This record gives sequence, C-alpha cells and structure tokens, in this order.
Amino acid sequence: MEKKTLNKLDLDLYEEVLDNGFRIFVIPFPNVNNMYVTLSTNYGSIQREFIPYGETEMVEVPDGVAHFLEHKVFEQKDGKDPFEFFGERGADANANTTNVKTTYLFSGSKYLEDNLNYLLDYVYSPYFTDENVEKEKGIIEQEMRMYEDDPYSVIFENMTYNTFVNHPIKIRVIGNYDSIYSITKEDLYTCYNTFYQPSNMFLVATGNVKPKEIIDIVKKNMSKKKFGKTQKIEIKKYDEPNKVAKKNDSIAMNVNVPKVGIGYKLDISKFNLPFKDIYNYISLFFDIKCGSTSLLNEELKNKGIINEELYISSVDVDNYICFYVLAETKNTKKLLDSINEVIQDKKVDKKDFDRKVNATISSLISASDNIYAMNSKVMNNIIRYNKVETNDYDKIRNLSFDEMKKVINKLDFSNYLTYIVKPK
Amino acid sequence: MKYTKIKEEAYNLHIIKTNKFKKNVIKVNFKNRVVKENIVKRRLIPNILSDSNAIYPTIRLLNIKTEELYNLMISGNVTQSGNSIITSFTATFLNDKYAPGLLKDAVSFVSNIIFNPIVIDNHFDDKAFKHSCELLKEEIELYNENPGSYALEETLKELGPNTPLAYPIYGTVKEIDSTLNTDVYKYYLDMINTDAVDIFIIGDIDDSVKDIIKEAFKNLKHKRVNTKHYIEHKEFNDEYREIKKVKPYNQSKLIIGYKLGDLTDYEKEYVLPIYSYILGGGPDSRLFSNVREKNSLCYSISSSVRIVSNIMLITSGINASSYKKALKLIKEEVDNMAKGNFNNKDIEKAKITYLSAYEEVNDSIYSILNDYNTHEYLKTDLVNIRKKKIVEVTKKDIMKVIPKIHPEIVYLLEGSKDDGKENS
Repeated sequence: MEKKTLNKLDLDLYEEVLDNGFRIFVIPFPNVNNMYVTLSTNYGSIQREFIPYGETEMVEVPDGVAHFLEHKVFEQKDGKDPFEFFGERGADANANTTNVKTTYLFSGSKYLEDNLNYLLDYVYSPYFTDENVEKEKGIIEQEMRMYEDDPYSVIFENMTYNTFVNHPIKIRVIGNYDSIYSITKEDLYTCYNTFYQPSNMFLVATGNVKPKEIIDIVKKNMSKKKFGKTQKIEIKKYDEPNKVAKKNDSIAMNVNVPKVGIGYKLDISKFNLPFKDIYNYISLFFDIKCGSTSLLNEELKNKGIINEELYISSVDVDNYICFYVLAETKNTKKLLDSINEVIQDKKVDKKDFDRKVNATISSLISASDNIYAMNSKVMNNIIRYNKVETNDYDKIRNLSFDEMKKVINKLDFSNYLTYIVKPK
Repeated sequence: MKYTKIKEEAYNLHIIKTNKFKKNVIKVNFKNRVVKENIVKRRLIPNILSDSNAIYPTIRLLNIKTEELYNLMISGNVTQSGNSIITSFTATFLNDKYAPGLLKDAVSFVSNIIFNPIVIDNHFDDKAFKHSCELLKEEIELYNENPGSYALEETLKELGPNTPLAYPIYGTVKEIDSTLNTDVYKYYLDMINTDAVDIFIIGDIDDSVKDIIKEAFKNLKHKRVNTKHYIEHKEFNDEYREIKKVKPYNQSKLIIGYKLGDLTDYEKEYVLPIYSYILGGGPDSRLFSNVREKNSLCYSISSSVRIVSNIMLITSGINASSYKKALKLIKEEVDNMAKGNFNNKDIEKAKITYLSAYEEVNDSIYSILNDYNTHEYLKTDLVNIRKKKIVEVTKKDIMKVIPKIHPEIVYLLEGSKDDGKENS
C-alpha cells in the first residue's frame, strides 16, 4: 500500500495494485459518516472495435453496447436484485456509462464489508440470457426517448457527432433505436469478457473508510474468484482528421427558446507540455472570454441577446481538446458571431488571468470537502492519465500567464462548428 | 456541532458552529404568505438586485468581486413552499483558515447585495428591471418546454385549484408585461420591512459572528409576523379523474396525483414517507420492479410526497400505447399496498434507507443548514430526533395512513411522436 498526500487539501491517498492488475484507491475523510465506493472499468462507448478476449481478429459491436451491458450486469442468476441487497443495507446503488468508462457504485454509512463484497460479487457474476436481454430493450428505449426530448442532451450529442469524423467519441453513449434492438447476449459477453478483466478495472473509496480495511476486503474477495489469464486489450486506433466533420447544422424541436452552440476542435499534438496544463490554459481562456466576468457576457446581456450566462463545456480525446460554448437566445446569428469574434481575438488581460487562477484554487479547496467530488477526480485522473494527480494545487498555482499566451497563440480557432436547436 | 438561536427584534439569527468543513455558508430568508398577484414581483427582485448594485453597478463587476472574495458563490432564489413564498440569498465561502478575514467581507457583501440596489426616484434601474423581466419570461418558456415540468404544473393545478398549488410558479408573461418598475420597488420595500426574516450561518465561526451580522443587517428594524406553511385539503374525489393532453414529444409523461387528508405530524414525517418508499421510493420499490423490471414499460417511475402541500405524486415516462397497461399496473400496486400486501421486511428496508440518509445529513454543510431551516419553518424534528422516531413506525401505522391518501388525478402528457422508430 502506497500513501501519497494530496498537497494542501488535508487529505491522503492510498493506492494498492493486486496481483491480477486490479487497482484500489482510497481517500479517508475525517469527520464524515458516509462512504462512497465506485468500481469502474476503462470501457465506454468509444471502445467499439477491438480484439475480443481469447481471439485474434478485430470485431465491431453495435452502438450502445457498453451502456446496455451496464444495465444487464445487475441481472443475477439467483434472481436476486442488487438494488434490493443494497436497499436492505441502507445504501444507494447506481451505475453509469460515459464515452470512456462504466462505473458501478454505492454510498451508505453502514455495512461496508457487506456492500463492498456484494459490489464485487454482482459485477463479477454476469448472467445474460436471450430473455433478459430482450426484456431490457423497452426500458432502454424509454431512456433514449427521455434524452431525445431534452434539448440540452440533443445539442451536446449532436455537436460532438459533428465535431469528429472517424473517432467513435462522436457516437451517442446510449446508441440508437436500431442498434439497441440488434444487441444480443453474445455481444454482451464479448464485451464483458474483454473489458471487465480485473486489470482493466479499478475501485475508488472515499469518505468514512479505512484504507487497510478496504484493501483487505477486496483482496480476500478477489482471491476467491476465478479470473482468466490477463490479456492485453487491443482497440482500433482511429486516424482523426483535423477538420470538424460538419461545420453548420440545426434541428427543429418542441422548444420555445432556441439553443445554440459553437464548438472549437483544437489539435494539441504539437505542444510539448503536459495535457493537464494545456487543458487548464484553454479552459481559463474560454472562461476569461465567455464566462460570467467577461465583457462579452455583459455586452450580450445589455443588448438583450442572452438572458442567462453562456455555458462552457469540453470534450477531449487523443490529441484533441474541444470546447463548446452554449446558450439560449432568440438572436442565434448575432450570438454565434459575437462569441466567435471574441474567441478569434486571442488577447487576454493578465489581471483576469491572475484572478481566475486564485478563484480556481479556492474551488479546488472547496471541492475537497466533498467525498463524491474527490472520488470523481480520482476516476477521471485514472481514465485520462492512468495515475492520480496529487498536486493539483501547485499545478494550478504554477500556471503562467506567458505560457498561456504562447499556447493560445499556437491554437487554430478557425476550426469551429455551430449548431442550432430551433422551435418547431 | 453547536446550535444557537438568537431572537432579534426584526429577525432570528441561527448560528451553527462546526469545524467539519473548509467552507462557511450564510443564508438569509425573507418569508411571507404567497399571493398570486405578487409572484412576478417577487421573482423579479433577486435578479434586479444582482444586476444593479450601487457599489457593483453591473453583473460583471459583481462577478469579478465574488472571484476576488476567494470565489464566493452567491445566489438569490425564490421558492414557493405550501402557503408561503421564500426569497433566499445564499453565499458559500472559504472559512478563515483558508481565506483569512473573509467572514466579515462575505457577510457584508451579502448584506450589500440585499440592501444596496441602485434606486432612482422610487424605482430600480430601468435596464436591470427590463433585463430581469426578459429573464423571467425566458424562464417561463423554458419551464413550459420541458415535458416533465409542464406535466407537473398541469397536475398541480388540477390537484389544488383553489390553493397556491394552482399558481404558476414563475407567474405569467401577461403579468410581467403589466408590471411596473415602481410597483416592484414598492414591493421590495415591503419585503424588506415586513417579511419574516431568518438568517442562518454555519461553519468554523466564533462568537464575533453575532456582531458582524448585527452590523451588516442593521437595516432590518421592524417586528414581523410569521406565516402558516401547510396547504390543507377539505374536499376529496376518491376516484381517479383522467386528463389527457397531446404535445409533439418523443416520450409521454404520466403523473398520478393524490391528496392527503388529515395526517398527524408523526404520520406526515415518518409513516407516509415509509409508505411511499415501499411503493415507489427507489430501484427496489414495488412500482420500479413491476412496471419497469417485469414489464419493461418505462425507464423511470417513482412516487414522492410533498408534505407542505399535502399531496403525493407518482411520475413516469412511457409510450402512449402502454398508457392503459401502465396505469393498470400502478393502480394494482397501490391497491396491493391498501390490502396490506407488504411485510415487516419492506418496512425495515425503508427505515434503514432513511436512517442512512439521516446519517448523511451531517456530512454536508447545506444539509445541516436545511435541517435547521426546515425545523424552523415546519416544526419538523431535527435529524437526531428523526433517527429515534422513524424506527417506531409499524405496519399498523401505515395501514391507518393509507385511507387518508385520496386518489384524484391521472394526467397523461401524450408525446405525439413516441411510437415509431422513425424519430430515433
């Protein structure tokens, strides 16, 4: 067990790697009753072409399998419902799937040993039948329809789709109607056997937890299970062109206020800097230019073009970082032009930069009170960097204004796309 | 943790000392009886105050100031709760260990936002007033375009036509258009001078906080009267009245509404929540396992109680073609409960879930604050008492409550595009 300190956050991180490659991360919180435990696999919707476990040829699986699999992992041969198990112990259980990972989780203040053992037991005992796979399709169809009525999901998914040409990050996590109905139990086993190998998975426990206790429970549990020989996972590599896939697009929905988005696909392959630093610089740039303290935000409000703040979000994969600015407006053209104009002007004020860095540090300290936020931080770090960053504080503190200017000047902001959700 | 309540002439001060968190929170509540004609004015005020402060005359300058105050987070909200309407200003900021001297600045910043707007000739700044009106109109449009919230508002109208349940949450566009700036200013003065005020402050603070608050809120002078919170129903239909509306969504929303008769405080706080939990509280509830898991008719289904309004709701997202079947299954589960077809194990499971949730209250600075806030307004028990009382609930108690749950409304918002794959 290795202990590391999370600098300036008054927290420690404990790490352990089991013989089968499974990794465990624990951050104990003093003064907290609750425990939050997540079990994740490095597998999401983007891993759709790969060499299955025990085979030699690449296969392609239907869209939405990772998410479908997440639903079906809850199915148990003995007919017991995992939700009931956790419910009986006062724990909240859930699971979620993103482009890059699938996570099973529970939180609760008691019965740690029971809950943790059961989490490992149900996730590592797949039971897929033609019948139970068929039964799930209607449920997932309803989940998909729910998102299709949500204009924010629609604009975000469609913008990601239009940003990328080849990379499967463009594809919706949930899949589509046809792909969901085409999924078979064989597809599920293929993906399960490949991506749910312990060496591709990790557990993160935060809150009222003792590192040794967690590690001992997991070790003992895993030692009783039979796993196949670890096999390295080979996933298809994609040659993603620089240009956005579709420059301008729109959709008509049952909305009253149009929604617009403008996204920038930024190639960072030519930088000789850590990814996180580049990401932070770009994020600060968008915050300074379009955030709540920007001149743009003030001007757009004064002109009545927007009423609420602009919303900034990002997607990153391989050597691309994409930033999206989204908003509600009845003056779609003017808004998109205005945002684009300020982004093309790369000038930034040092006063803004210094203030934002301080504010970011304060947010970091504030978030370190939260067992859910810190658990997510560990998960995201593992998925993105394969290790946990223990010095976020200094990383942010040491960001330099001059370096930011250099990074921003090198980026090509002419590579953008727009999307509009129009009223019917 | 130490709680002190100090009754000043014009407000109650609630001090909750705890050193568990890296941050402090202050919440200032203005509470009065909800009056339909005043909802719009009430809703306009928080935005006007943040848009046109005498010291920070634009929202941009105000946001810059919050970043300088170690990224202090401030929000102004209006909540309708039973017969009351509450305007609250909440600020979260790092405690003095991480941001020396911030407590005093943060408190005076909040007071400045509330008491120091730009006022010219007995009205607010015109630009801020106009912007706030536009923002509110947009909020109404956004609320109505969301199928879930639209269906909910329609159901509430049907459930309590002569009560505040029927009031539009944000008012109406027509009301906004006929509201004058001077009226809103006059109403603001009324709010400041006659509303019941409660100030909650929680965190790593010492006794000096009393004087800091006293100084910052010296504008509050007069004595105030508290309002009655609970909505009570006198007439009951005792049968389901079906209402249908069609809109072009991909999914249909089904809401079933119940009115609650004369429940005792104990029944409201402890017995009914356990009943609702067994019926539709979580993924191991009756509704979830029968309507979703066994019959694949939905992705989401749940029941919830709104104590202040004395109502219970069952909500789900389905295909319109499954409407009859879903309704039949839901009614069957409700009838099963009424026949007493549940056992002590179900009750114990619900209790464990609540006990676990109670444990979690003390992990979050906001939950602790809300616990005291709810206790102050509704005279509900504090969490430490709740832990002791909930375990006493018996099946007999639940059977006694069931006849007091009166069926009223079945509301279906039919999605006209929800039955073919061509939309997916």
